[in-house]
Amino acid sequence: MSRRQFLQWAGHAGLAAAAAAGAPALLGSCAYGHDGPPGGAGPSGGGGGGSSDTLLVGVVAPFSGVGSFLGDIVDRSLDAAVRQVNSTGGVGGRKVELVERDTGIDPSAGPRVYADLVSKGVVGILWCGAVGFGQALPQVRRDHMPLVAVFNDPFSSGHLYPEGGEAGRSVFQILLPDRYAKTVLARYASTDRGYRTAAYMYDSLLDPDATARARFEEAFGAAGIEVAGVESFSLLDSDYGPQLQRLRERRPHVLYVDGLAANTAGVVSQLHDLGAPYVDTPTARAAGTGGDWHPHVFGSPPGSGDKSWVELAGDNARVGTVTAWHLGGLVYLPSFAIGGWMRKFLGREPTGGEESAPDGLAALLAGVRKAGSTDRDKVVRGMEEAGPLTFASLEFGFTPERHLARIPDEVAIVTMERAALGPAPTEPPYALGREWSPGQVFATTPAGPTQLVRPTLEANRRAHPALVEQILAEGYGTQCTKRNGALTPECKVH
Amino acid sequence: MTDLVQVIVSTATIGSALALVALGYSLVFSATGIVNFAQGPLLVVAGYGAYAVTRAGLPVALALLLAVAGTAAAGAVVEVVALRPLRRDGADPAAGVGWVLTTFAAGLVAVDMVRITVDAAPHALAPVVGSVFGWSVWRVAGVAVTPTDVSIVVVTLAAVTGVDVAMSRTARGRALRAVAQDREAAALMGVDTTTVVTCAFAAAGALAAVAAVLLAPKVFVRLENGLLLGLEAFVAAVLGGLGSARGALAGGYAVAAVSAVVRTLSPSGSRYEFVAVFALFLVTLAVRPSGLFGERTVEKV
Amino acid sequence: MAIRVGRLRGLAVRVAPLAALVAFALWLGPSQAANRKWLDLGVEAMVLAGAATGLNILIGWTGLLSLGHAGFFVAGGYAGAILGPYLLGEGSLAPDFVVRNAPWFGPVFAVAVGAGLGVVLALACCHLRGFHLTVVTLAFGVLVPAVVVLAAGLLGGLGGRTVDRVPDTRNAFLARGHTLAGVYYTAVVFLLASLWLAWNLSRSRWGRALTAVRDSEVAARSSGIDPYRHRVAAFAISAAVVAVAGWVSALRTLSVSSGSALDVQTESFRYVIAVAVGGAGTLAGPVVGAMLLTFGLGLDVFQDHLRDKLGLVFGGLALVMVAVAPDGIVGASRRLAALRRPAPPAPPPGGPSPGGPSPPRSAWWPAADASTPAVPMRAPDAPPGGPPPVLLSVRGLTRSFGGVAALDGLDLDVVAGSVHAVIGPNGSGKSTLVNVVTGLEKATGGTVTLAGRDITGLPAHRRASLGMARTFQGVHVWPRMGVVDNVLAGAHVRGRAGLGRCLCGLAGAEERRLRARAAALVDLVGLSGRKGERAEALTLAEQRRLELARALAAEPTLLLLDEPAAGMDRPEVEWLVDLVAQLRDRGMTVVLVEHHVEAVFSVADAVTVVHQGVTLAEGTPAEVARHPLVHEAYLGASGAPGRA
Repeated sequence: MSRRQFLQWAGHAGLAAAAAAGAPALLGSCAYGHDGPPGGAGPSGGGGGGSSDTLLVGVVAPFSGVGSFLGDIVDRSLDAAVRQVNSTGGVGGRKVELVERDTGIDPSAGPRVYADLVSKGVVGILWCGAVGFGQALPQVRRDHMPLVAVFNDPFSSGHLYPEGGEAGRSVFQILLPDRYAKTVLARYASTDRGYRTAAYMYDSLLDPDATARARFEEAFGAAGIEVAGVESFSLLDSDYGPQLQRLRERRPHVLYVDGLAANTAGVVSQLHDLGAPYVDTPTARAAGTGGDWHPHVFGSPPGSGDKSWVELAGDNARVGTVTAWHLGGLVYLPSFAIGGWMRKFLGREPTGGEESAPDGLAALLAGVRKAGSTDRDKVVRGMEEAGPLTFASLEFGFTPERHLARIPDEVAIVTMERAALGPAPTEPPYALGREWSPGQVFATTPAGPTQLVRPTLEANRRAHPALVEQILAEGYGTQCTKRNGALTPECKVH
Repeated sequence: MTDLVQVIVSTATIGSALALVALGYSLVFSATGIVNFAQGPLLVVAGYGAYAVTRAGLPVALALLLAVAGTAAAGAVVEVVALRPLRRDGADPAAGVGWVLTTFAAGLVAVDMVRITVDAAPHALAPVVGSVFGWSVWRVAGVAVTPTDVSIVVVTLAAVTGVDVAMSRTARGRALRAVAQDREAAALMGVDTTTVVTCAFAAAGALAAVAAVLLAPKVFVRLENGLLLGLEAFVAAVLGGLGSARGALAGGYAVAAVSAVVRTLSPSGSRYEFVAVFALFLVTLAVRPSGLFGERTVEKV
Repeated sequence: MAIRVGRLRGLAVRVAPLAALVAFALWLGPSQAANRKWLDLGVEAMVLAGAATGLNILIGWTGLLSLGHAGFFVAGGYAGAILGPYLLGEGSLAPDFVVRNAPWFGPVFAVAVGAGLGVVLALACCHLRGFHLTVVTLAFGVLVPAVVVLAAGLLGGLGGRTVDRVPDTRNAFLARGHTLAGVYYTAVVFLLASLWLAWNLSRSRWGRALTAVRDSEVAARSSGIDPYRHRVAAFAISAAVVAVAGWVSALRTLSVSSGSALDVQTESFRYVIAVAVGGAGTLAGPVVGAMLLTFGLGLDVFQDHLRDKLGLVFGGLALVMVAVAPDGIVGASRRLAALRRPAPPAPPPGGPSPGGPSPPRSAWWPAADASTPAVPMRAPDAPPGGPPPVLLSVRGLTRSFGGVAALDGLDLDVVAGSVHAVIGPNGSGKSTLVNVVTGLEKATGGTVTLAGRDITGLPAHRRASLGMARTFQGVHVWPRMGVVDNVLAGAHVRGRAGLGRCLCGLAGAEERRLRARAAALVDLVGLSGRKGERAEALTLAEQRRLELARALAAEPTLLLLDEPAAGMDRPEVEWLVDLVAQLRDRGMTVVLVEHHVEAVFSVADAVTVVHQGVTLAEGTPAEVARHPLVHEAYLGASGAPGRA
């Protein structure tokens, strides 16, 4: 055999040897795999949670790239919250430390950052934002990792325990589900405003399976409102002409735009260009019976509940456009703790959205406290049994039968508008509730004073009686409601 | 009738903006044979730059001019940073695969720089032409037409005509075409090839700025625009034929028209918008591989 | 001895990276077994490296840029992790053993689906050139998630589908295989398998053909290589590899999903970036690039401190890296290594060895042996007493484009076993004639007949496989290939190893035989001193000789030489003429298109004079020299030849 042939053979043999070495190594991996047997009970004692004097909590959010505004919010709010927790003794004497991982730049980063956090030994994870969540979910379920979905809605997709099993028992959700938001809005439209027809516009790229559309039809149908048209737009679109033309023929009382701030702003602006801006409820209702079309625009929380919506819509952001959210979600009251912590530790004012992640953290820590250990299954049990918690904003809690932090009764209807323009003219004239001016509750934004809140009174009274008294007493604005066919003395129908 | 007018208006507005950006892709492709994946991010740079100028209190027309100048400079920087290193030892960047990496990376850097120096939130820009003689919206057969819409169309047609004329009549334009066909020969004939290429990139940046600022009342200033509009304009550019100004125009209008027609035909039309545009795309490529107005090249043996 | 040591070192240099990779992989597994993060990153790195290796076959060797390959990744995941176990599940017709180990047969399905889709995509785009081909791949990358969304019921839509576990956990081996460590070793095996395939391909006839198609399609076609078929095959192979990568990844994440179109796009870009960072066209490049990308992203320093500036950081790093090493890390290190190597000894002055030992005749033209495929087109035997048989016959050949008729009804008969010269003024259509006869250009009218068979409609590579070879007026060597490899690639039609054998590395014997012959041919044309160099390093005259050796490597029946003597000085011309005469004596038919009339007349048996696309005169050199029209059109202007 020539030298060349020998070397070639050696090359081949080396590969064969490597492959052969791989086989026993495969078999021998049983000695190394620490992931536990598949499908069985959770690893006992798994989830070290850091050294004996720190408790590690994982945080996943889009810190870089296009979605980074969310990451900024999460970063700030958790910073303040952790300092607050540690300044009051931490958890069982252990300090809380965050391990933050980014998913913004790389959409396939979900499983990778999950494995990273697991190997760091976090006691639980706050997964903020949808990027990578779905892809990491199977491993979360397999590992029984306690996880709080912040700004994520597995409930509405039917995955959340106990309604659905896809997410496993260890996943909890802080975000108000879209399903509840639509249910309450439908009731508001039908009972409080007397609307009879509604149309829906959704983003077909972000919701290709049209599951949000199904929720809309279910909610509004249950409230006795006829669905007068469904239109879609794509993320790429900035022109809604054809869709609005078609809708104008049907003249629904309500137009529900389920998209982002730019979409809602665009629709409202183009409605204005068409000569069909919202005026008031009687005008909107008249559309069905011979009047011009002036629909009442309902937006989704990121669509018109985001303060950037006001800046984008400019003068078209007016008192008509409503969104369903919960108190504390978009709506702050000075009594909420997170604002104080941010001022104290960071010297900053909250801008909105800062309560979700800290509340998720609180739930996780409460679970650890209740369990008295960092064993994953025990922590999950602890989270379910920790009872009502008040931390960054409103009181909330999980139970073994409910892994959702918010109940339908906590929904509030919110309008963001250009208060500088004053109230839209109505008959009879409508008195705005108290406006927040800059510096009072919110940091100054170029959009100027923008928020008014109209909580759904009865429901919120059931959920948070003391809070509602405070709201009414301090005049933070009330929803104008008909009770027993008559107007209440505090407000007028708008 | 309303439907027809709506389709025309939608096509004209969006199509013009796409044509501007597509023209940018075309110019760069002409000069170098590569596709500038940083073109979309340049839209973002322009938008946020204009926003920053208006935030400082300056009028939006001035913001437009500054954005054009600034983004042209940014385009030139992209060329220097992303393309020149690939020319080492006289190599042709189009022959390798490095340009994909560098233009893409340049785009990432550009968007992040914008995010860090300005912010990540979406913003609005006042329209450059808000109202003409007090008229701010005109309703034709029930369809709304604003001065913004008209100005986009006018500016685009002017720009495309200008580029077309420049390419065929002026010395600079001829130099660009020479560089596109045979870089070495052009250099031997005394053309400053590096400057020509840099100018192509700068022009692409300027066009992107015009599109971004003019279209801002509709699409706003968002980080996502780079990706979304950039992608759509890229499709338009290839459809129309890379390397042809008329092709950019045709491609932009074709894409916008398909999108408008599909949405006019059915409420769930936008689901098929993407698919329809790509179907048109593939059909065109099958029939005319170099795009509607693209040039066929013959390889000399 | 020095050469042997050098070769040893060269081989060691090439084997060393592979050995290092294997060592690294075998170290990482056990040492990080308890560290979930690095093991997971290891799996991701191996998967990306394998996918990048597959893509490199297409991008680096075949020169086709695909920006949509993540589509195959998704398809492979679905095929291997869901379709396979479903089809082989309980109640299927497969044998019991297969059913129990169904998930392990995933790669089979992944390869099948991947290769199939690869062929489909190739058929949709391989007739396109340059960026237009890339655009279609982009469209494919977008269509895959669109299909996943449309078939949401079956494929799970944007969220994808979870992968079912192996139901039978009594099988301890399989159960362990699904722990992360098991998945890791699966990924390592996958990477090594891909590298092995790529390595075999690179050293084989098919791999050479791919590179030939990339660097000069014209030369490839003339050497009998079908560009279309090879491109389609390259697509299929790269798609199959990436599909298996998708299957391994499904094992890691326990789910298959495509994400949105933008996600697939980003993923496709990741593969290309890994290839670009490491160095396209090299074997180690994609692996290096993939490791850097994956482990780099996982470094704590980035996530802890720079996580809100990752775009800036990675974009900036990429730009810096390209500025420093434009052809990738491996490419740059090779360049550095080349700089360090001592320059090869200067080639002997003058050209082929005039005065040196004449090459032994048997060395480069061995008798046909059983392993040589029979030459399909034999020159017809001369019937006793009759006129000599005609090998090549051209009737009424027309070729016009753009209103210009380069050939305008040209007739030509080339007798078998003769040297037939074609002369004429510049622009008379000589080169076009060669192009049309060999099939590089299409005739607009007329016929071409080879040994009685009408080949007018055949593509160039088919004609080459029938026994035609040529050289070019403007040289078309494969610049990045070595001297011997150029000649070896020219012998493409003389090899028989199919794709399967090449991929498995089973064509060694044939490869050695052909290589020995190629080396002998290189010696014949006097380039023995330049054997280790790339063709682009040769002078123009040397490249012409290289082309000649390449054409001879095909052992053609009909050899067409297009102005081979251009730029040669007198001793070289004499050598060339002598060579042509030798070829004729061996039974080869040579068509010699030349300007150098004196040389031509000394060796030609027949001469055809072409003028403005038609035959002006033909006959023996003497007859043509006396022909009045010829004098007028051509010879008269440049003076009478040396012969009477």
